[in-house]
Amino acid sequence: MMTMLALSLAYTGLAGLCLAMPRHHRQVWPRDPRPAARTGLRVTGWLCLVLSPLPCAVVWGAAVGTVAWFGVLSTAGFVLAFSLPHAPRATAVLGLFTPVIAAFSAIIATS
Amino acid sequence: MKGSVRQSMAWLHTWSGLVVGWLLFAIFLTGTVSFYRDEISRWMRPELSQMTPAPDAAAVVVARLHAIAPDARRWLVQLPDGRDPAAHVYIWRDPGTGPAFQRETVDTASGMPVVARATHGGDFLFYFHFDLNMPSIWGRLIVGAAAMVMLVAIVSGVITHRRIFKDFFTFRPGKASHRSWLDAHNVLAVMALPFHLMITYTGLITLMFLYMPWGRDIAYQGDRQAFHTEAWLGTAVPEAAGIAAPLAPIGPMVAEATRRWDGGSVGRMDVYRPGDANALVVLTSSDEQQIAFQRKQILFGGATGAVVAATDGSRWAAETHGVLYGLHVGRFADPFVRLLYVLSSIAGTAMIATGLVLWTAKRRPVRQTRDKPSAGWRLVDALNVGTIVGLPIAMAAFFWANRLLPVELGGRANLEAGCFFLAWLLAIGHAALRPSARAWTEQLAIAALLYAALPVVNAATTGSHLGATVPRGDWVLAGFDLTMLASGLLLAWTARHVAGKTLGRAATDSADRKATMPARPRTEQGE
Repeated sequence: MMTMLALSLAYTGLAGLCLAMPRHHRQVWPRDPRPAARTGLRVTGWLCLVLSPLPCAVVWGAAVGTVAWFGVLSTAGFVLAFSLPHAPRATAVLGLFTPVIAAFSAIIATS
Repeated sequence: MKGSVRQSMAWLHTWSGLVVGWLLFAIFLTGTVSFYRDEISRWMRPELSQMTPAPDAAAVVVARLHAIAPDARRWLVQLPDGRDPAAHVYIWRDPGTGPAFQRETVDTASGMPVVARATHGGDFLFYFHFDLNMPSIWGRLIVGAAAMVMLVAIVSGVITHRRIFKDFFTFRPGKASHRSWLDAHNVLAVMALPFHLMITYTGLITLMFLYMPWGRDIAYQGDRQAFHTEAWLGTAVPEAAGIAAPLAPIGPMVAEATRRWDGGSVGRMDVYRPGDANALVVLTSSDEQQIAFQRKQILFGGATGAVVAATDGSRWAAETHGVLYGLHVGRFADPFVRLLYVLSSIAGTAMIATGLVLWTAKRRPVRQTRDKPSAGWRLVDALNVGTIVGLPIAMAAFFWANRLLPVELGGRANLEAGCFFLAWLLAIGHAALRPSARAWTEQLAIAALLYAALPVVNAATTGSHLGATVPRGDWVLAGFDLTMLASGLLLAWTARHVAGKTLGRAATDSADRKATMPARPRTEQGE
């Protein structure tokens, strides 16, 4: 479950940064992002990205965790970039829900 | 080369990438599948499919070795692990005391050898990845040179990429053909850039003493053995004393090693001069607990069973080399991290493929049915088809040959490899003879068929098919079959997609002809 948490944090992080860009924002919503929305997406994005190595470190330790984290980031990036033009709405919504679900499952699995 | 730095770099990236692109594609693809080398080997030896390693595997194997090679110069044993349930023994003898080299696969549950069909298994693709099946060191030198060019292409590619942050997530599949190929190439490259740099650089490190031996040769005055002993093994390999002394029991040595490694398991066992008073036992940790391929070792006196020496971790240069080497081969990875490795590695392979296709997409004759492409364009396009689709076809042919060649056939291991090269050659020939669009769709369709039908061929020729492996939860064998099936479906989808695209292009061509529109400019500048 920790691995899913890492993947979804990386995905949401990248999705936040991506959708803060006007070009990609317009792919999902019919207009440019408002400044407040931009800031919000950016902050959420960076926050999730900063948190995403933690589950990797928990599962694999610092050394292998670092290697795994790069793999997690790349995988999340590929899913995001290649699915965005095909299903923009679903790609964005996925970014909203996955970390919540993954966090709950991780808490349940560890408790 | 002309103009700005960026233009020069674009030129360098385009042409360095093109010249070694096909070779790099082959190196990347065979390297990618080599992460599953053990699994491929297991699938290719279906006779080994059901085996449970014994808890005292080392002692069982030593008993077997005492029976078949008591007076050998050296035994080397690869003990069973999570990925390979069999033990592999290698025996070297002094001249005049029997066959100089002998190998055997041992089932540790029964202590008896297992007989499997002759095949190179996953090792064939693994070795091809860095020696191209060439004699001597030529293949390794060529692969090393290609890897250097790959580094050049990566760095020049990053400099060329003007909007690396703006286009970070940009993929526009609906745009003009060369636009979407460029987007795909960029995303595949940028998203896994750390991996691409790491795997290329560490790949060079794995053979660094072949490529740059001079530092070692000067420091050790050409004495390579001294270097090896100091870097990787605490003491020199002993001479025989000529006094017979029975080998001490192996069980306590394994227990001692496990204790010292905090529960880490023994992966490899070397016994030098068994049965001699100077016998030496070297136990090496398995590679699953740390990144470094440089593993922990303990040396035991073979006759006494006492610890003689242990690697102390103070050799920083050797340890650094071990970590870089280990990062490349990824043997430390659990199944999930291995999957991440494979995904990034597939991205690298696809990055090379999209780069090669991009070269032709940017230079495609404007109206395909009317303008005749130049000879250079034809050559690049034919090699693209013959490599990007031809190599997967060759790999499928290798797997088919493994199942269809008679088991008792002499030299069948090499015949399997022959089928690989023959299929590849046929694919390149086919690509050279057929028009571009037809070559792509036909080969993609053939590849799709070869992969999708592989589980069927497996079911028809062996008992270890999906109907048997899924119920008993043998996910190595089932996973192989399912991966082949998925590859077949993906290739079929690609074939359909490409056929649709080319039909669309032909329709545009005929519309062009009716309207007699002026030709569009051939290429866009400033990519």
